[in-house]
Amino acid sequence: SSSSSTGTASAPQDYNSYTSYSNTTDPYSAYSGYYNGYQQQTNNQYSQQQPNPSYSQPVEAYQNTGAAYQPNSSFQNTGSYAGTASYSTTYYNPGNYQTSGGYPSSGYNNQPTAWNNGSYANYTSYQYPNYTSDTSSAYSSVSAPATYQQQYKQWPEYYSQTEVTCAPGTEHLSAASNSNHGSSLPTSLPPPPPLPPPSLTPTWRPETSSSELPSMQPGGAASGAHDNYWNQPAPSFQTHLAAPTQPIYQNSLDSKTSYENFQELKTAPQGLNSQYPVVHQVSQNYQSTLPTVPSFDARRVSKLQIPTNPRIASNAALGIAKTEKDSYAANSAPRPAYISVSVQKPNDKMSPNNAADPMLKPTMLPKSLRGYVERAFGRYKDDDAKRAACEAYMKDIITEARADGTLYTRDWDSEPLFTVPDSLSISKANIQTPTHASIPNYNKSPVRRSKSRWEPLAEEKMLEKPVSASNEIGKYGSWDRKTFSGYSATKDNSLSSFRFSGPQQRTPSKSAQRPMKRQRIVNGTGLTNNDDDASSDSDKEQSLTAYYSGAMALANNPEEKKRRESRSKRFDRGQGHRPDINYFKPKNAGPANLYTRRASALMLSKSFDDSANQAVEDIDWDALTVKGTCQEIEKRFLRLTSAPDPSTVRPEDVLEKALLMVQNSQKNYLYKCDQLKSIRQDITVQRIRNQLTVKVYETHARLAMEVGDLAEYNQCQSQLQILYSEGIEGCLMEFAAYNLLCVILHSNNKKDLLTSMSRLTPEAKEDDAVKHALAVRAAVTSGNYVTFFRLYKSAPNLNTCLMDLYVEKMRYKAAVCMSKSYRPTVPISYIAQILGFSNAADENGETELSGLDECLEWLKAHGASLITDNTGEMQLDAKASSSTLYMPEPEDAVAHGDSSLAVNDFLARTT
Amino acid sequence: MAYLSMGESHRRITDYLNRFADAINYQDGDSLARLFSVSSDSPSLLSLADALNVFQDANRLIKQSEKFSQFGEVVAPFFRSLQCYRLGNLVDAYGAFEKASNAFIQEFRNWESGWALEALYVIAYEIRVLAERADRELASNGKSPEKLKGAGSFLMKVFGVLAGKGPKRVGALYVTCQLFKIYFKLGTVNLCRSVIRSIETARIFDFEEFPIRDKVTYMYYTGRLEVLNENFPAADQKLSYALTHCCLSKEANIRMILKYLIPVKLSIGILPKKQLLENYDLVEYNNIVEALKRGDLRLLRSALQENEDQFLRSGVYLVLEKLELQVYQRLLKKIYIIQKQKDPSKAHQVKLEVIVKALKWLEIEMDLDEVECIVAILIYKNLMKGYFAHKSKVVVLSKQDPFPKLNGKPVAS
Repeated sequence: SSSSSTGTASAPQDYNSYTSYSNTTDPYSAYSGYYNGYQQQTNNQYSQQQPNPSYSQPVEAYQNTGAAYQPNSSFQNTGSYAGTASYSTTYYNPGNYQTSGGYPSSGYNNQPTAWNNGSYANYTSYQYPNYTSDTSSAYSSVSAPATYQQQYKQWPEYYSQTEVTCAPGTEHLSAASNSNHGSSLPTSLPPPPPLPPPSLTPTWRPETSSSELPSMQPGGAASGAHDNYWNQPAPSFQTHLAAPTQPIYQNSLDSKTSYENFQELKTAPQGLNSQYPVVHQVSQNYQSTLPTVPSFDARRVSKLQIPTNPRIASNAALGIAKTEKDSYAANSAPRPAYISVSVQKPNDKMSPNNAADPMLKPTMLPKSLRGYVERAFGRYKDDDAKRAACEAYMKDIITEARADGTLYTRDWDSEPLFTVPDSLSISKANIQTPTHASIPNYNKSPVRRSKSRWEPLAEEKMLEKPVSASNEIGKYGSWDRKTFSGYSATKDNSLSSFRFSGPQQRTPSKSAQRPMKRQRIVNGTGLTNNDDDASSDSDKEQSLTAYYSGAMALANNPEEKKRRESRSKRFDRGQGHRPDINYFKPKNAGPANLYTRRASALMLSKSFDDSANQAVEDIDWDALTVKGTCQEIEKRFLRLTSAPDPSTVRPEDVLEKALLMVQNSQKNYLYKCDQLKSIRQDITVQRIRNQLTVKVYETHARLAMEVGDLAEYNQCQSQLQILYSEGIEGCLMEFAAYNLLCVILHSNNKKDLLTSMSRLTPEAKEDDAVKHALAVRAAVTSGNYVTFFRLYKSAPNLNTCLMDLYVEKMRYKAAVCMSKSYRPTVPISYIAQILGFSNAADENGETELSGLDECLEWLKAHGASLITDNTGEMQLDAKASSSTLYMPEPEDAVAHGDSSLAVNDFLARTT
Repeated sequence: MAYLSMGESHRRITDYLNRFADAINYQDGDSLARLFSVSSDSPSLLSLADALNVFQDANRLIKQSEKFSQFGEVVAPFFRSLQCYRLGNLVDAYGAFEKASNAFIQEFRNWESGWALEALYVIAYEIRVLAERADRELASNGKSPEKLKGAGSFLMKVFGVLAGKGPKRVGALYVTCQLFKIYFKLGTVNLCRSVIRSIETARIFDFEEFPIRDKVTYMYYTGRLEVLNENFPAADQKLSYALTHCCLSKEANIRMILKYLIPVKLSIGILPKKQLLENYDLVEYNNIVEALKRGDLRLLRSALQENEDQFLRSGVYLVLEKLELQVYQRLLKKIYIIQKQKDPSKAHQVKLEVIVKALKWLEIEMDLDEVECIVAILIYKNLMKGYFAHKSKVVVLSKQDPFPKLNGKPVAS
């Protein structure tokens, strides 16, 4: 989830900036500087690529990303380009674009001009040309289809596995087929992959080598790159996507087109189909932008992409759903968090448009929901069938949430996960078989497997670094570079590493890795699969293989290789700007990683508001506070290790009942303590701070005192002091007295005592409990044991309990004092009376006697020497005792200070 | 504020910048120090502040010439601080001043000699004073006062700059003292320990090397710490050092030292002359001393209650409270003396009833058990030699020196 959070964090910002941007068309000029750098890169790359057939490569890469396939299809669909007009409107002046209506085919030229007008000129022109070329080249080229098919195999499988239950997914595919180009793709999906995976694999290697540096290919370096690729499926994914930075633009275009198509068609089915692809593209693009383009201005990216996305989202709700599935459910895992983020943002913005498609707007999903979805799927990472079911279920939930308007308000972090019955797992098998075909590719996996996932990537990066350095900075900037870095799982890292010198490289990589690990844990599916596949889960392997085969297909394809090479050469131009871009990336990724999911949720919520850059203080914590729904009165305490789940949190009225229940309970302290702690937890997570809170803490503090559980008592006491200082009513005096006693008797810190005493108000000093506590203090400081034990007997409230804990010490001091100052003897009865052994109300002889016996036992235990005088009364031989008294080790000492809290009892309870 | 022309403002600002540059160029620490002392309310700085408020673009002046621009990082925030200070915005004044100080520290770090120590002292002082005032402002606005805390950590940094080898180390004690002041004010005296450790254990510091004013301040604060720990001999030693080295003309300082030294001395059985208390306006101790002399428990208790708040705040309450045992001792000694006058042969046997009666005369109601306990404690703590016979309820005093004097030693615990 952490990774995803990063994505979100970065995304929102981008988005915001974007929005602002859009609002004021002119502002572009301000950014122009920024853009120029970026544009050049992209443009260069693009333009270069475009001319060459290599363009198809980008597409392929794109496809590899998995989601990309559809984008391609959509792209192909370009027939719909007419839609561009709408696109242009969003970003730039609509008028210009519209004029360029010809966009789809040759219209590009016109458009560029429009862009120029907007100060984007360079950028647009480049892109568009690229785009056109891409479309033409990619489509025309045979290789592209092949790759597509492969990809389709993988992904479709993926999807189909997951989605099988879901009609929408299939529908999408079909719809895609409907679209001009798309048809080929969809068809390819269902059937087994036309291209044998093995062939792909080989190609893949060459590609990497070629595209990267020569050095890389040979030996370790190459392997390292591969390893990276393998090890970190998610990253690789991203990289693929990222590599397509250029594709991003394409995507945007595509999306536009799709959008337009949708508009034109307006019919749901097509829209869905096209949307689906589109969405993927968008998401991919976004991802790519984030990870790869880190240096990029998020703004630019966001501008381009986002606008498109929104529309897409609005039009194709299904498409969104798809993305959702892809990113979360499906697999899952491979998908970097980035994707999800990107999707979300567009959604956010789009929301108004979305209204049209209430059903599925994956893009719209709040971050927390994403996390929720991830969690849901994470549970079934091992079981594709279940995952599929889960996905279906998920859809329902989301749709429902959207319907009743709780999509954004609900706390998904704490939403309980549903369970999926086992029965649903059938459909996948079919699809998976095709995957096997791709398995040969998988053979390589051992290599990567050899590297443990825990292993730092630094080495690889190191290898890359030198290479990159030799090649020139441009390399990094270049498309190929990106793909490679992507292999290493963290593009950012590679970039950053490049940017920074050796030692620093590692840290970035680590940070980058960390999120990955997390994902594994949380999502389980994707990453875990990759890493663990070696370990053998066949299901996982298959899915993985599928995934990899696609990737490999891209990479291996000889044509691609060539293209990449040529491309990389061209890219050298754009280098200059790259470094800067790179510089930014780490920033986005690093800090984001640090955020907790909650934090990211915050960011998201903010982005929803479209209010950019809120200060932390301005965060509306109330909106994020859990509102419990649990009606159970009894609840065991469990330390939270994640965001609280509202379904297990009790609302205030239930908590009140729970408190009453505890107060009236006859069970032992451990039970009560457990219950109270859970109440306190519920109160805390709901941020309830009122008299109930005070009551709970007071109750717990008293209970803890009664059993001498000082640790728990101190927790409550410190909380109470804060609560009282906030002006919440409670038994202030009583606890002021407790506090005094505690400081005097147990901390023995003069400074604390002085401050506590000086804080007492005159009224407080008149309070009986406080007075008593002060008297106790005086008795303790002067060592006046007689006074102490008198006060002990007359203690109000639970002062006795606190004093109890000091009694032993006081008695011992008294005994030492007496044995030194008394001669020759002291009667035991007197000692028993003075040191509080006999009960205060010792009217009847029995208690007195028992007190006496107790005193005898105590004295003996402490090494006093006792004699019997001629009247038969037991006496303490003071002189003899003065040298023999000692403090015995308490036999029943337990951490809580009370034997009744013995460990055995505790263990018995907790098991 | 009288109207100030732009020209005049400009002149004042450049004048300041010139003086600043000169002070640094000639390594004139004293002049530099004066230029930093915001809270001194010196006329020149106040007029500069007014000029800055009129002439808003002082930064341009700084950047204009190479001569000034090199100090820009120090002077620019300092100007802002001065402006804010003049306008009564102490929170911002503190923030800007800390920024300026930070820049200055960076420079200072690079200077070989300690010529700018005087300026550093002023900065350390200003940081603390501004932080205190800023906190007051924050508190009055209902915000949490945190600037003094920030000043503490800033001064810790300054301490780090000074606490090395070389001529600058003599400045370390000054910063330490400012830190003490902050910590005592914040009530986080436990933070003093680390600074003290580096001063007292580090070889690089020869305590006698430090300026005497810093030594006195240091001893005063460490003495107070010892009072809190009820380590009376050490407290006595440190506070006495401070007292004997303190400049006699600084009566306020002497009074502060005596405020702690007197309770310490009382605890080890040394009573001050009444004249001393009156000279330094420490009359709150009068009755306590009197009670000790007379063995008047009631007087002691009333004196303590009367000044309870004051004693609690200064932190000597617990120390004074412990004098009670000495008062009991005095009381018993009086009884013993009276008995001796009556019947020397039986003087060493003091009946418990007599003591109870004596206390009753003092309007203090205590029963036999309580008094017995007190007596036992007196014997146990070696304030009285002898033993107590429980059967006969009689204190049997030693024939030799039954009431030993403390003579500078604390009461046994």
